[in-house]
Amino acid sequence: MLAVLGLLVAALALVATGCGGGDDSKTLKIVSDLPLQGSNLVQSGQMVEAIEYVMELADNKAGDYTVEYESFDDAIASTGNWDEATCASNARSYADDDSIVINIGTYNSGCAAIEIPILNEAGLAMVSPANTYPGLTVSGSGTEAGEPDKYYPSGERNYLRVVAHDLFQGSADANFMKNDLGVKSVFILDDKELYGKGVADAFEGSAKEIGLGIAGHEGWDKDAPNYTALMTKIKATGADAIFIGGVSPNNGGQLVKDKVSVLGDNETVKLVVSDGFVLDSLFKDAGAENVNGAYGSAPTLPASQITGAGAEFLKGFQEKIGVDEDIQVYTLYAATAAQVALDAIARSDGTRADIIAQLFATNLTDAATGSMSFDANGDPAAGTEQLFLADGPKGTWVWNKALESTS
Amino acid sequence: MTETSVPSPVVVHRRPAVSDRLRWIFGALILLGLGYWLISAAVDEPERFAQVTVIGLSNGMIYALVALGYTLVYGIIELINFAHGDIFMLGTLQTQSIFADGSLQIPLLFFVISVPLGTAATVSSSGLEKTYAIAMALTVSVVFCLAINAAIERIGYKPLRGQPRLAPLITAIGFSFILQGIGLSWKGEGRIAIPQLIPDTVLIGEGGTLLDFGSFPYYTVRDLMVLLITAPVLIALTLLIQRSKPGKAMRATAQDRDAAAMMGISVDRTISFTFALGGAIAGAGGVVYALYVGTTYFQLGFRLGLIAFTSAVLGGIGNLSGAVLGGVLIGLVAAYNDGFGDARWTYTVIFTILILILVFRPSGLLGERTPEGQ
Amino acid sequence: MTSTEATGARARVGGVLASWERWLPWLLLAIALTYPFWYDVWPFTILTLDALGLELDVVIFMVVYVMLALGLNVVVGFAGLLDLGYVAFFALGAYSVGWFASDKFSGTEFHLLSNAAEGAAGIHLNLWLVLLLGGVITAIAGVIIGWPTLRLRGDYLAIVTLGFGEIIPDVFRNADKLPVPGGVQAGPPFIDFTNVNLTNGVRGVRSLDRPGFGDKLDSLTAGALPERFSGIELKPWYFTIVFMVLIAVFVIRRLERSKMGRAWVAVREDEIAASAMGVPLMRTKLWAYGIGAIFGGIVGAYYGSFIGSVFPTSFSFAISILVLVMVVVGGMGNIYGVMLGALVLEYLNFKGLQKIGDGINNAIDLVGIDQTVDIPRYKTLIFGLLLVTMMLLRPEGMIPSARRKAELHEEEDLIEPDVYDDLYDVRREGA
Repeated sequence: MLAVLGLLVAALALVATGCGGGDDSKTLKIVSDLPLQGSNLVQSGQMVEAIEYVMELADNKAGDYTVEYESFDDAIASTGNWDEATCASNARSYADDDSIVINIGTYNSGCAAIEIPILNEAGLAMVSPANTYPGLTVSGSGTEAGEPDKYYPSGERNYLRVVAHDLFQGSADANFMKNDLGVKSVFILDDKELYGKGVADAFEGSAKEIGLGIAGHEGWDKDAPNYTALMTKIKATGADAIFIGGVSPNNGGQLVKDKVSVLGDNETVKLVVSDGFVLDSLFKDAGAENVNGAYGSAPTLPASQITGAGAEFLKGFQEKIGVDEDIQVYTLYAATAAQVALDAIARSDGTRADIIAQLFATNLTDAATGSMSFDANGDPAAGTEQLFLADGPKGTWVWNKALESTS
Repeated sequence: MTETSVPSPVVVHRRPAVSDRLRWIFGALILLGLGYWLISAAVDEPERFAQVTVIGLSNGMIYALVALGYTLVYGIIELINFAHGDIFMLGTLQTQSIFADGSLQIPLLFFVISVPLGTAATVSSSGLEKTYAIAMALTVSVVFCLAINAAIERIGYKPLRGQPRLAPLITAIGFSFILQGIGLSWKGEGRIAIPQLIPDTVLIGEGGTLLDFGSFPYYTVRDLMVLLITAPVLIALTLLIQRSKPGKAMRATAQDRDAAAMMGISVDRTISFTFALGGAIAGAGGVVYALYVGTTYFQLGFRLGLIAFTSAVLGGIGNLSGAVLGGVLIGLVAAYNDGFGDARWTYTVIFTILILILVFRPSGLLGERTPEGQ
Repeated sequence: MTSTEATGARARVGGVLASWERWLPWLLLAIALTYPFWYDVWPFTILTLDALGLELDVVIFMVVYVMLALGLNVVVGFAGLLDLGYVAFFALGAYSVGWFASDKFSGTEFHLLSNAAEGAAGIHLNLWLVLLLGGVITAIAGVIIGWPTLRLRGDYLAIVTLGFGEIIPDVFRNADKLPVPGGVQAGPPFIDFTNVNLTNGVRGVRSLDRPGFGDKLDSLTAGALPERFSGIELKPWYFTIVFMVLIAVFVIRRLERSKMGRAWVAVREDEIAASAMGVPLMRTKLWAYGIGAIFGGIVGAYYGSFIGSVFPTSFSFAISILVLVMVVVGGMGNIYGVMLGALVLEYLNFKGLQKIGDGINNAIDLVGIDQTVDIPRYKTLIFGLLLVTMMLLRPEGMIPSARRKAELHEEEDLIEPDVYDDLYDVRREGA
């Protein structure tokens, strides 16, 4: 205990020296709020690097303003995941600091549900690079009564996101399954977590709408040793396809492995996974031969398909982080969010309220993910959904085509 | 407070929590409901039922291997050894090192000592390589887990003998955290894949090499392997405890520590031996798990440990055959619920069983064998 | 009896209040009550407290855990009932805000003295009532859980409570489709189940109501007692939880010295003897368990409202363990020890380890080594080491209760007669 306290005091002095900032009236600050721990770090760490790179390219300037950037962590170490108390605490510290004008975050929709109302009271803008839960911006199937208005107590919107929400992905996947794969009956699995359940529910809603048969919808327990009994039940339902909503670190490797061992390969019983599974690590976790032939959707274009300004950005960024690093799904969205933020600040009068107004008026043509503008809800005016096919021998996801969404 | 080291022979506690008649009615109702559900499932869909039963049996044997460690320790010093599940977890991580990296690894927080053994193998390796790898994994993992459990006992529990029971229990929780931290620094946060040495070739069932029938792969080589490793471990353990001298000392100590000490049994040594034995079984369990399941991570031990502990309580804590029976039953219940019920409720079902057992039949199915329970 | 010095020391611990024990609580109270006004004002405090990360909301989380630890201390420290599932009550309390002060049940509209918007859907009770209701709900849950299980002996009770602690968050997680018997059907299983959405499942219940003092008090005090607490201005939140802790301390101290308090000690020390002396075992235990549950429920409701959302994922076994560790490391049975344990450990858990890590990394940077240590990553390890070391070196905790210390060190010197002597000799020595 004493040793710890001693360390604390020693650490204190050093932290203290880092405090105190300049009081330049033209200096504004943007922050990012991402889970920088555990298995999230692969993705979120790269997002921070992308934002830093955008700042570097802009030379920390937006119009007449000097812009500083600071990265905040909303995860706790013991779980490696976002934590509601940390999210609330972070949001309050942004609200308190008058120099902060935009929060680029969050990664998790649950965390956003906590931060939006707090920042809404403070009139502080939030641009999320990764939240896909629909209810944050729109009402509709898969959302709850009172959404999205209950997140905005002041009555004014302060939240935008640069990714399309789950209804979009759910609808795209359901249409693809019915029309392209000719699936008659699908069994839906989710990882019982916020994101996974959201995508799976959105998928279920769309499937019902378009008349795709649903054999069942259950959650898998990420701590179970294996899923063979569950797969046995799926087999008995006669489903000819499985949709998985969730993230593969939740024992997704085992799930896919057991799917193949009981139900047969992904030709026999089709497998479509949501973007939380479209990671190359899945090939290692599940065994490449078991993933082979699975389809996955994600709201991003693969690096190889990006053209124009985005391609240039990507080239520079890849050089910065090293050519061996794989670009993760949401990295370019973080860059886009930062570009949107800088663009809005440059056009604004420097107040929080005007910056929100300018964010909604965004019309960028050369963002990292292409052109970007928002509708009145703060959703991207034109969302995209891309399809990937798992290539077992190569051990990677190969871009297949762009998907149509009716939502 | 005159003597805290030996639990007094409490009589009042033995009274069941609920009156006898109520117990019978409830017990009968639950069993009838369960029995009806299972029989109707078996009649309606015999094939699926058979498949789910096999899965439940194999998973249950793994639970049983972990449950044995809990029951051994509880039987002798009435301590819930929370660290036991994490020792099992370290066993799976060690096995992963042996199969994937071909080396024995000793994790020392910020670095890992690696001893190459040339045991790296995959499913396509030759039979000889695989046999060597599995034999080495069993040896190394057993010794590794045995050493850790023995060390924990020496450092953490031995100095606390004679103190109120809460003290070693908190220490056990502390060690559980420490072992998780070691696992985390050793292999990282994510789940890691273990190379699958045993192919899941179907022996009996759809496309089976022994019997080809039905529409499910009923029994695979992996299921057989679980049986081939678990059964000898159980037989050896039973022989050890029934026939050998240390085994007799263990039973004597579990029955009455004072009397055992008076008969010339070194109680301290016997307790240390029990911990070592528990660690060894956890190590063997880790290898079986690695061969059967194929992924592991640093938090594996927590949940699996709780489930295994539930198994031990279900069978009758302190009772070896009870632990095995309990493990198999829990494995079956989990599989039936996954396969016929709703998978998202499986965990709740397991813990509801735990509570019902403790309330209606605290001594478990086969009766407890602890100093207090005698 | 070896030396008279020992008797003196013992007398202070076991009998009369040492002088520090008289003024220290008041000093601490003064610090607690004024903290929000100076922690970020004076240069010195800015340098230390701010750099330590002791902002008001961090302190609020710390005090929330003080409250939890006080509640668990009644169960574990006073009555000796090992509860490994305390988080269940915390969760129930938080969810009672979700049920009774939000738009969760948007099919109905029921307002009772609420500061929610006029005509808002859902059940909206006044939040102060919900705090009490949280206590009532958990008390009922405590009795339901405790009635069949408190007869079990110590370890089994620990296991059963652990079971409940695991089940309740899991049920909340899955209860967006909770199968409820809704009728009878002809075929098996004869009962017709309908799915009911009780908790919104993993999505949690969002946008919960906040406490407030009504518009009259608001205008009278110029916003010091706001009509509805704000998400940004934290002083009302802070004083609410501090006030709750004060009430808790008062109640617990009264209980400790009451007949019930003595019965708890008797049951903890020796059930059979206590029973033989006429202490009703079940009732005594049930009271302890129920009071602990009430504390957990009230603070859970506060926490839910403060965060503004409840998620089933927030209530894991780790919290049960953390609170237990606070009680044990602080000093089981001693409310000051328990409070200190909660403050220190929740600080380390929530902010401290991260700050220490930052400090160490800054130091490494200054030295010029390009390497970082991720201290928070090893939090479980550090907590584990802390627990084991504490148990081996100082099992009675940071500020032990006199009785417990005596028990744990009884082989070192036979003190039992001394304790009695001291208790009876207090007046003589003082005179």
